[in-house]
Amino acid sequence: MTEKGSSYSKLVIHPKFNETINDLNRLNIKIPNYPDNSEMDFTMYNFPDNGEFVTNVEEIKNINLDAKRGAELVNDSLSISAYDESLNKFASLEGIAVLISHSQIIHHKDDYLPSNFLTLNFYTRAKTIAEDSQYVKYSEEFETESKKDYAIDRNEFLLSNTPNNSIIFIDGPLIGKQMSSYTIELNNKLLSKNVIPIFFVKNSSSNLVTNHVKELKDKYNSDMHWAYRTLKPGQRTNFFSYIDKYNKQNGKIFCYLKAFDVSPQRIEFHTSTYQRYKKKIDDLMDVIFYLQLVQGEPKNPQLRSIAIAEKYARETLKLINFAKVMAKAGITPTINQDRFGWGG
Amino acid sequence: MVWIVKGEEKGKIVLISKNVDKNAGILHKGSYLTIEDNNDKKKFIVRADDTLQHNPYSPSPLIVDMDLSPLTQDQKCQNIVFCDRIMELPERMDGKSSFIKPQILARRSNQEEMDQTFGTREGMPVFPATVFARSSQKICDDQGKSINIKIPEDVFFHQMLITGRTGSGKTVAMKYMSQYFLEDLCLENGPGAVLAINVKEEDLLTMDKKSETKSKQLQDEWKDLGLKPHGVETFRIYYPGNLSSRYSQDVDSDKCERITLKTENVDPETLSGLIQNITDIGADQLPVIFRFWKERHMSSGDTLADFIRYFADPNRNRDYTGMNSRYEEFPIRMHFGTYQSVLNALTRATEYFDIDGARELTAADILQHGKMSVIDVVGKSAFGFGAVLLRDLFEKIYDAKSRKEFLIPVLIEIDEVHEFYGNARSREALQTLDSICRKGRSLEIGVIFASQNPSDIPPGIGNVVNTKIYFKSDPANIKALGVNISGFDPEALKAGYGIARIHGLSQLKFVKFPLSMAGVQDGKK
Repeated sequence: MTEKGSSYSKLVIHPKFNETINDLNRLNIKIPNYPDNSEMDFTMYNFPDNGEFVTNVEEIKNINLDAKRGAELVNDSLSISAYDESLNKFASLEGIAVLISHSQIIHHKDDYLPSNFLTLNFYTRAKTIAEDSQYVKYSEEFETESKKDYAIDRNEFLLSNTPNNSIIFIDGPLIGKQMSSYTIELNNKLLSKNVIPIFFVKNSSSNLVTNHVKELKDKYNSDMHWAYRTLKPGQRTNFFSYIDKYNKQNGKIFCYLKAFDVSPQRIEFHTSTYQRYKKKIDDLMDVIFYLQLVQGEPKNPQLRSIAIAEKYARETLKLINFAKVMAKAGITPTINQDRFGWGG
Repeated sequence: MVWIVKGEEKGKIVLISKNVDKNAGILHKGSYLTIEDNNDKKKFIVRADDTLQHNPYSPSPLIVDMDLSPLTQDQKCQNIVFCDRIMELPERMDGKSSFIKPQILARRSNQEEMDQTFGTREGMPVFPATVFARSSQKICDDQGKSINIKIPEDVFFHQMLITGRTGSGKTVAMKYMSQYFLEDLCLENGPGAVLAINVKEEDLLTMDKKSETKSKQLQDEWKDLGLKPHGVETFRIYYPGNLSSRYSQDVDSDKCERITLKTENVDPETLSGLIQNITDIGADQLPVIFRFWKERHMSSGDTLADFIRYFADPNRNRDYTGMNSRYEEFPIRMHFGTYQSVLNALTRATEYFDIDGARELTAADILQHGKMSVIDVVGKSAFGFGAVLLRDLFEKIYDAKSRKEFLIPVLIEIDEVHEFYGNARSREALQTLDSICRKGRSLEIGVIFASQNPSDIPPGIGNVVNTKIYFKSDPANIKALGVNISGFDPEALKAGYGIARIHGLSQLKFVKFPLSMAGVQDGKK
């Protein structure tokens, strides 16, 4: 990492941000004052059913983690960054505006260096409105379209900001529905920069392990349920492998890690990442355990680095006074959105 | 080190430090910052009213128990400063103040900006100071150079109260002010004269000698202000004529003189004020009896003892003739208790009056340009003499100034003021002092009261004291000044540092006085 690390600290606004605002004003689209502040929802983005499940990455067992070793590595030699995002959705009668803050922090010498990227997209089912603007997007299913835009913007942001020869912790799954191709593309490009991408999933109802391992079948509601029961705090499961039956590129290695006596997290590597950095993986798991302890929220275990990135994501969203920017527009918001700020 | 405006909260401008160098730290309370709005070409001067350490990443304390090292990034600290608006430059004239916009930068104010803020380029130089926790420091600019400000000269004539414990710098500050008044007062009729009362050891008796200190910090302060140590050129010590000179070698005996009061010169109306511990009725009756005696019985060379003999004559049986200021005569019957009280007080006072070989001070002795007169009241019964003499002198000075006989400004310094007025039960005793305080501005008479406790100030006089400087003293006293000292231990104020409420200079809260150039020798102070 460069000594002039402070040059990483920046807030970038998407080039089309202002044009989109101008067009919304021109089209007299009024955006409500109160957004729905949230993160991207990947809870339903489970493993596709068409996977081939392989268990022979490691013997099925619990593995103790060493936080001290993790602390030494973090403070001595590793170059680490982390990514999270925060978004505001504004529902109006004409469609939905999605304001996203992509946030990456880099562990610098004695500070976290933040970079943030703000994007704005407007989705409508009204073709006439969309046809009148190159910035308003026609979409029958805005959730799908917005996730695609999100993935494209995220990839662009991370590929231009992530330092070479580093580790990046990314909040969200590696493989899941239409996100898979974008995320795997990101993964491969990061690998070409000698960056190790590691993905984190907090809430998941996936039961890939409990469905495929004979001894576990029908005994647990989900993999998370099984991992919580089998792991003690400070342990992880062995690694499992998943490969898409039809697209061998869609493969990942994953395990569950329990830092505190609450629901574990799933840690995911792309197969190619795991193969390339196999020797470092144990160290990295200790680092991850340490960073969860440092965050120190037993009720909501989270990686410290991702939690800091999330803070910046939320703060930078506040910088855009969206209601003020849009105040000139004049179309009525939906009643619930206007009165109670219910999104989506 | 720079700060960024976060916004305004509860009337305070909130700034957050941006760590750009290794010198980052917590800005002290009382510091002045300049917020520069380059777009609007505006500057805002603000003063830190509260300051704290902020840990933006608020790391979990759990890892301490786990014996794990912290992330260095989590140890990041910021300084959050809550500021009061002091001034906007240039000032608006449309009845509004400009917004201080979030996200703009602030830095420590420099000397030029401080001069603009305080609006005084002339006056007595002192250092604005800051406090935090148990630390008190002078204000510096970003280059580390100490800032100074000038206390306007008219502050002297709005009367002042200085409090502080022994060793807090109270007396040294008085010496510094005296010397400024004697040498640098820029008023039309200046420089001034100083009358001071020495109440402890030889505190004020070596003002003719230059100060000496080995402290580099104090020497640097002189250098920063362009001052050089030197003694007061015209200096006299007056001590009670009933005592003998008993000073150390440090005191120049050639500058000492015995003094007394002459009965023949005493105005009957002020006699009650001169005599301590008499009742109100006694204070009413004594002047008219005394006037009758002076007019009808007093012979050349008569003393107070002769009046006492007249007053105590048993043949008179406490029946007297009084004479009012219109010289009308009338009989007076004095109650035995009052008679006894007046007789006791008069008898006690005789030791100060009509002493052979001692002379009486006049207003002309005190009111001389550049002259410092010290009345030494250290020693047995000397406080009583001081009280009597002081009242007499005040009357003379007030009278001379009122009649425009002397235009020279005068500064009167009364240390341990309660010793002189604490037992005064008559209105007369305080009347002259009260008049001096109230008319100080027009007559150019300044009074500095010094005491360990603000409540020692004579009743009624407190209302006319417009400047208060509290050196290290009881925290309750400091809180009573209305200065926010939360987060600071006032017991930790270093010598010379004080908390101030100065007339016409409300922007200044904490002050550091330099060492006076005269009268302080290292090791003694």
